[in-house]
Amino acid sequence: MKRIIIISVALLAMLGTPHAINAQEQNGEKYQKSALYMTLLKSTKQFSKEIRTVFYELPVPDKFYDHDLGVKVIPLYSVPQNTKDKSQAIAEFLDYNDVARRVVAKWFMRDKSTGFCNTDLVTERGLYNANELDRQYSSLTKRGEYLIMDSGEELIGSTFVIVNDIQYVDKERNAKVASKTLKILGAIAGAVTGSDSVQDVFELGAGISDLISGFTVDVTSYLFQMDWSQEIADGFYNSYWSDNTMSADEIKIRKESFDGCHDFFKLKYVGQYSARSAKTVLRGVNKNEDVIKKVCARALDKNIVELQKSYDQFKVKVPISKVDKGTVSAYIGMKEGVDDDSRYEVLERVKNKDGVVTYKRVGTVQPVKGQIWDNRFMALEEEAEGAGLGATTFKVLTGAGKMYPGLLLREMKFK
Amino acid sequence: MKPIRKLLLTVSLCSVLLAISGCALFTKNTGETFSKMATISEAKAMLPYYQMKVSHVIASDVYRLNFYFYCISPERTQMAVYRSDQVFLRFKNGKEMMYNPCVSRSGVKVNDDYYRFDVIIDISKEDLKYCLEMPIYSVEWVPSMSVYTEMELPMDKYINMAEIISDFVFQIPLTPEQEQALMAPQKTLIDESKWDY
Repeated sequence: MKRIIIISVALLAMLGTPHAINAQEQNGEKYQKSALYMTLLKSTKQFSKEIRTVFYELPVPDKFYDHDLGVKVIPLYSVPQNTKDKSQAIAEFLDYNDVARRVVAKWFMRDKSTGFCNTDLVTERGLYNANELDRQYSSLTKRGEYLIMDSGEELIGSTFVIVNDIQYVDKERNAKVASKTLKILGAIAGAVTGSDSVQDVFELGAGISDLISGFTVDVTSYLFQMDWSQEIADGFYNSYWSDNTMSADEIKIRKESFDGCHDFFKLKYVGQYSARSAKTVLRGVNKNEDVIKKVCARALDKNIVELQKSYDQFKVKVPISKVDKGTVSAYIGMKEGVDDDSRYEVLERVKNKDGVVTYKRVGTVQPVKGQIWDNRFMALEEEAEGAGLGATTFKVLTGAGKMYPGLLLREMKFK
Repeated sequence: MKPIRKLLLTVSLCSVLLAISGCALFTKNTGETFSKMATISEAKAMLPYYQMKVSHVIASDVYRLNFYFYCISPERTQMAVYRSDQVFLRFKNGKEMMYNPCVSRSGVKVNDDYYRFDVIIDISKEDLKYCLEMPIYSVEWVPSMSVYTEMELPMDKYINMAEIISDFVFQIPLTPEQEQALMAPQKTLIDESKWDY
């Protein structure tokens, strides 16, 4: 019963905002996306401090909802830093710190002090799909149920946590030796003059020396997914959800139950991917931190792309924003791994008779050579080819008459 | 042969012999690390060089930490009789751990520029785990039998114990129980106030 009420409230909230739905449809920016919480493993190795600093500033890729939980850097002391596979230790950390429970708390915008939940975020992120549901279903109750199934099981179940392990690669020994020399000289000069600024100057020089030789990082990204089954959803609504319509006693019980819940919500380990960053292009980069930021951002994007290639549930589905004669456009590009050899299937969301959302293929498309948008980090500053396109144009291979804005693209063929 | 030519030849031979003996001495004393260094300037750039590793498991929860470092002595001739009886491990958060080395050796002159110091300390399992959590900021060597009252080593980077322990675990044969005890996961609980959503 509680669940039906929650569903209805969410639905009514959505019905009251038809203009917002249309606007979002028109610009093609709002669509069902997975939610992502990106974190970094704490390291004490060289450049770890600088890497941490830039990681704080890196935005979550725009093809995901930012599901940040406040803690960006994870100190993991249970395994040595050079351990190859840290997945188990990370899983233990996430479990011990109740990250899955916090993911749910964020989805339902749970107030820490009162324990009150609401569906505003679920509703907001589910708006795009709601319009599609409006078109397909007329029964208010049924539609509401489908909505919460869609927004709940699908959206919450599509929440991912990526724990990144970024390690600087000391490729250039000579550069390192030069760097250390500068640092020691800086320290000596600083000690003699009693000034930190002297040391800073030397350290700046040292940094540049290293970076010019090619700042490179090894990145391992560990992917976890929220386990949000029907059983867990029911458990949440029946035992942990609370709002101001409940009695004070019930609110208290539910709040304490949720705060003390350590084993009900879980994250599933999906997999990992390791890669070394590509060669640094210094064009358009004026500061050391920008080099580090650029290298890290691109390496992280690359890992996300590779994780998507390996794990279907993590694949991004991007809507078609524009349809022309024989071509379609979408706001994806090199950042998402689009290249000349990519192939995408065009999907239409439909519900089967059981109310479950399925994706029906209506056609296939291929990027047009020279029309691939370079949307990688700082591509504009680098004046990279294709950086100014704003979207990638795809040639329609099959299903030419069935294309319309809003259909979803999903990469289908990987090299 | 003219006397002057004899003298020149003798001097040349002596120079060659001295050079050979000098190289042999250098090779003998410098050890693996310094033999890899191409030039003295490179070696200087790497100073202070240190290496730590656990060499033995003394008891079920006591580990012998053996480390050495190189430094440039300001008064080289006297460093040969240098002796220490206290070692401080100083951590980034300001915490200090003091040890009485079970073995302390005098600095060994490895060449004209460097001395090598070996330290052996026994460290408890708890301390070892603390070292894993917190980078060591500096190692301070406080001598007692010396004209010097104190020598601080200008460490230019943290000693990464996590890496050292890792090496140790894979290099030293341990019983499965010891290994398990050392590597037992340390659960890190993030303070509740830092979670913000």
